[in-house]
Amino acid sequence: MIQKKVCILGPTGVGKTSLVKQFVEGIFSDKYKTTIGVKIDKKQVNKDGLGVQLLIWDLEGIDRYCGFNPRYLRGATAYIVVVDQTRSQSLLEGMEILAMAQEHYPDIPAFFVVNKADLPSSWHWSEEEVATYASKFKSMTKTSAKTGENVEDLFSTIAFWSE
Amino acid sequence: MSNQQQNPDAQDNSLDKIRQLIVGRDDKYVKDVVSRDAKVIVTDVVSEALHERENADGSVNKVLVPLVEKSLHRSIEANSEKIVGTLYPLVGTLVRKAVSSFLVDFVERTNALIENSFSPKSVSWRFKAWQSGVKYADFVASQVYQYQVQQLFVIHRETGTLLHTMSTDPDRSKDADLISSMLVAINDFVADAFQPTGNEAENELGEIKTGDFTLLIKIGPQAILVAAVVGSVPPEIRSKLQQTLEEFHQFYQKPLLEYEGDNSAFEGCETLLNDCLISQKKESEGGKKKHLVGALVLGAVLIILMFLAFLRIELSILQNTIRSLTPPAGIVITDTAIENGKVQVRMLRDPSILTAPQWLENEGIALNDVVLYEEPFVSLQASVVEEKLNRLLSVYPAVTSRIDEKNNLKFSGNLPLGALTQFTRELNAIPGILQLKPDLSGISITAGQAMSNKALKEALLAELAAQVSAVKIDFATNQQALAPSQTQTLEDLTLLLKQLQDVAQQLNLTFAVFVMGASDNSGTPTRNLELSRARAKNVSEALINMGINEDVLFPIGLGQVSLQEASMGRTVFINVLVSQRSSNEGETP
Repeated sequence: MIQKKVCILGPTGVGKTSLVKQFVEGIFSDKYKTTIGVKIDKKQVNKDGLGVQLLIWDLEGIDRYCGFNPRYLRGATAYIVVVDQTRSQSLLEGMEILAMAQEHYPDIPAFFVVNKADLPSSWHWSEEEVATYASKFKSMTKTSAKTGENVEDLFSTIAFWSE
Repeated sequence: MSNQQQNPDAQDNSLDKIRQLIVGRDDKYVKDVVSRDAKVIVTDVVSEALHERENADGSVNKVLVPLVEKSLHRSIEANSEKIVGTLYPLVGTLVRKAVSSFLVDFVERTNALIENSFSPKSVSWRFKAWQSGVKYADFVASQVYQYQVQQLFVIHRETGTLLHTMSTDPDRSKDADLISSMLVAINDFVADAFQPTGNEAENELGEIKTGDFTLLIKIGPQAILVAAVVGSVPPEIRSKLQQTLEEFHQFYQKPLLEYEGDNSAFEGCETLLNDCLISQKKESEGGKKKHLVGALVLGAVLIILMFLAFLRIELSILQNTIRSLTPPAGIVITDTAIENGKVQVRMLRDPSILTAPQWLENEGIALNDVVLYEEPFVSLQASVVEEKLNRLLSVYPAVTSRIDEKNNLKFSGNLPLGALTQFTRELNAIPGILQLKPDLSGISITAGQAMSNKALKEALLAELAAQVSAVKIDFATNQQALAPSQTQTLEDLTLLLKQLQDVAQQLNLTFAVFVMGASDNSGTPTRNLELSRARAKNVSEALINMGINEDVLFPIGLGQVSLQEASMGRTVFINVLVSQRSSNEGETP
């Protein structure tokens, strides 16, 4: 079976961990994440009789005061930048994170996730502005970790992504 | 001509112009031609030229060395990953060799140190090592290093994904992929947290240790080998892991470089990893059982040995007791030994005294463990002689004995002639009786007999004379000295002669003892005559020494006597001639 490493990045409180929890049944408790800044889960995704095991590295929330350890991205097949559509600032922070990641690993495909789709969009960004930012990514997905909307699709897309 | 002389400068200028036309200004045409073919020209001679120049003054090396150094340095700086990847298996082997040779040396020295150390623990370990038949140093190692490699992970270094895992317990392999990712994350975390310069190669985890559990991490260019070890980690595991990792890189170089998440290429690596899944456990139950059986056998053997030793000690005590006893007169213990679980006692015993078993029983010694070997012998001890005399006297109640003032054994009493003759004979038969100096003159022949006392004494004299005449003393061939074995015969003879002297005196008779030496017919007659004389003389002198009056002894040499049996001739005969004293002698005051 093919194994793929996927990293999840994003500002604090956008729901990265919830997103992963929605996708997998967590095995490690969250305390690991606060220790070394990363929590790892795995999930097998099947499509057309092919199986891919995703190893999902859930990185600690990143804010403007602390960056993230770019080493964690090494060897990843893809990474996801998660933002929260109820907080305008999260989009800007997400873009900063993308810039940082691309600085170290420009070849790894990045995926854009706008989370909390179950809540009404309350940021001041227009659809066009969001689309402009999203163009820097391979794809954009609106998800809800609460309802599970598009979560399976997101990981399935990443698992079988090919350029 | 005059032109030529007038314009020499003009001629020079024209030559220069011609040269410029041919070779160009500043030899430009020549240079162009040369530089056009420079590559070909240099290529043809470059090796030879370098070689010759180097041989001439060694300057090529001087120029090249700094250049090579500089370019090597640049190359390593630019492609360090690549170079490390290429050199890794080679350097690993070199380092391992150097380290292992150092370790061997170190272990040898430690060995010597351990061998020389002496503590109760080392003594017990030495004993156990001897018991299990291994070298002491190996045993010490086994005591110190008790471990088990429980699980092995081969992790792709770049992605942190698990390439392969092996475990002693299959349940453990379940989350190996998460564990390996976590390990890589931890490794990244450590590298990031403690290495601000970002030189990651120098700051990677080699080991994670908690209590009895150790994660050994060996990092290669493309893969990481991790061993989960429980117990004390022996150094050979580390080198084993290192070696395995290098081999892994060699075998799977291509799949490692082209890895994109597909593990199928690494399916066959189990044989490679198997060598690392080793353990050294504390002695198992079976070992304990074996020890128990060993202890039982040892115990049984010890008990048997102790029992045998006890028996042996008992026998030794018995042997010592017997040896320390003072045997009664007539018994001589010649040897004691412990054989076949019994005390063997060899002794000489005079048959006339009490038997050896009687004696030992009297001493309170049980005879169950004693075997007696008796050799009969004649004891000349005074007490034995007295005992024999007492027995004789008990047969003749009419005779009493006492020791007189001259320390002679005086017999007194009355006996008929026959009984006296018998008594005399029996008394003389007691070995060693002579030392008591017996004197029979006090015995009177009983009047009840028909014959007169004088006649009786004459009869006794005749009897004694006959006994004396019957004595002969044998010699060895060509020997004139008396053999020690003849001592008893001489003593008996002396006793008889003294008794004869007494009786003859009482009867007022005189007697002569002819001591006649003879020889066999070997050797010359002259020599034989001399020999016979010497033999007679020696016997006479022996008798004189034992108290016989010299005047009655007449040694005579008979020379060679040719008898049928040669040994019969090598002897001294005694003959007694009794005669009346002449009146003159008798009447002499």
